[in-house]
Amino acid sequence: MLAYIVKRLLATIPVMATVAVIVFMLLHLTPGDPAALIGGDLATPEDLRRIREQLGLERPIAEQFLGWLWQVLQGDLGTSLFNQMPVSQLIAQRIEPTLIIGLTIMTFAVIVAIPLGVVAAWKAGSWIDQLIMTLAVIAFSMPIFLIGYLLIFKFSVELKWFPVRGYQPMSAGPTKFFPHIVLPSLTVSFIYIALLTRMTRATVLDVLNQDYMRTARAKGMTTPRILAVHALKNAAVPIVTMVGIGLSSLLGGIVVTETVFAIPGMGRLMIDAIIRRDFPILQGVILVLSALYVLINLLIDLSYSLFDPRIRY
Amino acid sequence: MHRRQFIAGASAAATGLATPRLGHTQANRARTLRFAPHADLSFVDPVWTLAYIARNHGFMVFDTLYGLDSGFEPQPQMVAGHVVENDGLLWRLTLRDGLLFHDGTPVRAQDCVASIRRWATADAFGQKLMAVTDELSAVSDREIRFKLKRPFPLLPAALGKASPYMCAIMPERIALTPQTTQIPEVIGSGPFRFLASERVPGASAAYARFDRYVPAPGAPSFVAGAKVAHFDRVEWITIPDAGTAAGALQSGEIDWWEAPPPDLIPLLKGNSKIAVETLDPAGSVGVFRFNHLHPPFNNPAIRRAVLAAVDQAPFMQAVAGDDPAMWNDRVGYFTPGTPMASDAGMAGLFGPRDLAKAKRELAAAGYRGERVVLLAASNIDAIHALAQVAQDLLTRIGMNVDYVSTDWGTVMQRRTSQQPVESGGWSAFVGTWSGNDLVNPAVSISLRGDGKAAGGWLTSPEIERLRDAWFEAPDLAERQKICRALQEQAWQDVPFIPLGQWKTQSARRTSITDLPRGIPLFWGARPS
Repeated sequence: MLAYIVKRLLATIPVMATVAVIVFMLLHLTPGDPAALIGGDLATPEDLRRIREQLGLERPIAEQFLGWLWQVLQGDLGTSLFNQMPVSQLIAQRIEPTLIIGLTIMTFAVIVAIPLGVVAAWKAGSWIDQLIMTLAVIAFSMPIFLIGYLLIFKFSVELKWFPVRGYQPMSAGPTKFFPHIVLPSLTVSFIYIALLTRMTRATVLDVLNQDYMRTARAKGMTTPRILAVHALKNAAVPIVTMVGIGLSSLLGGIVVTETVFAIPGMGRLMIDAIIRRDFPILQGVILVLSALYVLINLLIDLSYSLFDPRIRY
Repeated sequence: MHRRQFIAGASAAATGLATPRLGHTQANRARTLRFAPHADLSFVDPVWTLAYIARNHGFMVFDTLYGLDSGFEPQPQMVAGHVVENDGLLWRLTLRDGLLFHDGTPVRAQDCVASIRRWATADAFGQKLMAVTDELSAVSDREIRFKLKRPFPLLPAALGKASPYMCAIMPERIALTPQTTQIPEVIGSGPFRFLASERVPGASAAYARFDRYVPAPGAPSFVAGAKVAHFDRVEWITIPDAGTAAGALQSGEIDWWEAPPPDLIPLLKGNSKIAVETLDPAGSVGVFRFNHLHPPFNNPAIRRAVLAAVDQAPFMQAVAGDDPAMWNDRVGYFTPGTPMASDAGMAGLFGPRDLAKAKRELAAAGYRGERVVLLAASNIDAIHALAQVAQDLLTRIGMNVDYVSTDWGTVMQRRTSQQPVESGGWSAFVGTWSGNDLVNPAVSISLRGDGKAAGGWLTSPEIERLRDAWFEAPDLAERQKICRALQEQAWQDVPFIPLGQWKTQSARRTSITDLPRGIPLFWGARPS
């Protein structure tokens, strides 16, 4: 397995290099000039030239790219064009809320969705199945920002149970930290609960129709044992794959929840950088996220062997 | 676990979640003002950028030698006073006693000289001042001396200007930073200290009251007078979503929201713990800006034909709603209600327009269907609304409009292009300015005719001649007379078209009161 992990990690190098080139080129070919934004509405052409020169944007693209690449290889992600803080420091400030909320969303989704999906499969065609699937369709169809607003209105403005906005780090203690992640996580969870419920139902239903399930029933095994030990375990690989894909694609939802709840996370950092054309931040954030995606996919691949003894690394 | 034990435990947990938050809020609320600004504090150097947010931050942290009062007259602020000698050619400014920077060092004339020099490299008013200055020096720790080539009666107004760039006074060691580089430390002598270690870009910034600040004499008035801080701490909290900001204000998580959008005002007004008020009498002004280098708007007759078609009321309805009390559709080249504003040349320019006549005038002026590239920023609500009305108007008078809707970043980049539209250039775009940026020719940067000014590159020797004369005018009456002439000339050259002025409203919790008028300022405000 170690050899496999090393091989996979080595394979990430060309992937990351490709990502770096594509991201750099895309950003620099996209319309928009950070100097124009920094200079403001009333900046003269001379002002803009001066700002571009100071930011190093007057240099040829290839020179800028090689300069950035050399910095990255030395572990330096560069400095923000706007607030002049190191990108690595900005990412360090922002990564905790994004990771915590992302993991909370997926944990919550798994805890709720898998039992619901199994029950729906077990009771396929019944009113319970139809109810769960209807709720899943509703949850899947509701815009994330709308769910966020509804939760804020009810639980923050009316009941005052949770704060409307902001984030407190884990180091502030659970009584300050926990209330700030409940609503943002819940907001995005619905869509993943719906997705995972439907996925679990489909895969478990498929497994339930297999011959060995009939054999298990004939041997007198109880329904909970059949579902938990035989059905769910055999349906786990596609479900775990879906969880991995969900984690990787979570950023879109987190951008919305970070915006709605004014949470200073990676999603907001990226959106602000896009609006401002703050290239070093964007390049740094995308590079870090790409590395995270690669890591998540590796962990998902490795987890397959836990559920399917035929898979060995 | 029994059911009752579970319920009791869950209740305790829920109480535990809510209670600490309430406790935290109550402990700090009395002495902390939580403010949601219109934008994130991206820059902390108010002499490096024209961004309003940096200027607002600047007035918290830095003091100025003079300050404009609510009548836009400069008053001594850091200076105790000045003496003018030699027929206006020698100015001696004396600093007040006891002024300190936030690092505890005294404010010296040398600091002021370095700060003025840094500011004057970037600011148009400062450049004008330095152009007539033979010598700027620190005679002693408390005396600053200007030796001028020609009288410059507006010297206090220049040093006290409230629009970007402000003449922020900082320690000499920091002020020696080239203006092209942001300052490495934010050390001023203003009523609040910037807490750099607490800044999270994109999320928050914090300030603490500077206990050793020595207020100027006199009642506070705009950026002049006594700047007495009643809050120990001010937090700026960036909330990108308006709905969330409304919720935060309603629930008491913030105390003051600088700029709620007009559609949320009725909701906020319905809350008895929230007061909605207009703090900035200068408001905001919409402007239609031309590219004067290329057809069709390099032709002044065509610009005048478009001007003749503009009725400011629909623009204001689009941006500020149907209540005429919230806007002014009789706006000239200077902000209404300020000393330089007048009705010069405005007869017949306002009210419902005859578009058929405007169409004929356009044809008579030589318009032959050239493509008009109208840039519109779709991610800024006010600009988007104004641009849509502008597109409709231009189309209705027969112009061949290519409406290019992008984000503000792209607009800002494209508007720097001096190429014709076929090569990626532009013809016109819509913007908004603070009314404070149109109060006189010194701060109205697009009211220029030097062929170089931002936003359009108009060449008009007469506008430049009048502007130069304004700087040297001996008194207010003469300056007002020149501004009347300048406005009449502007209606002929049409450097840009004013689209009306609207009131920007602020919302605050009733638990705070006495918010200063004008731009967001934090001295004077107090718990109610």
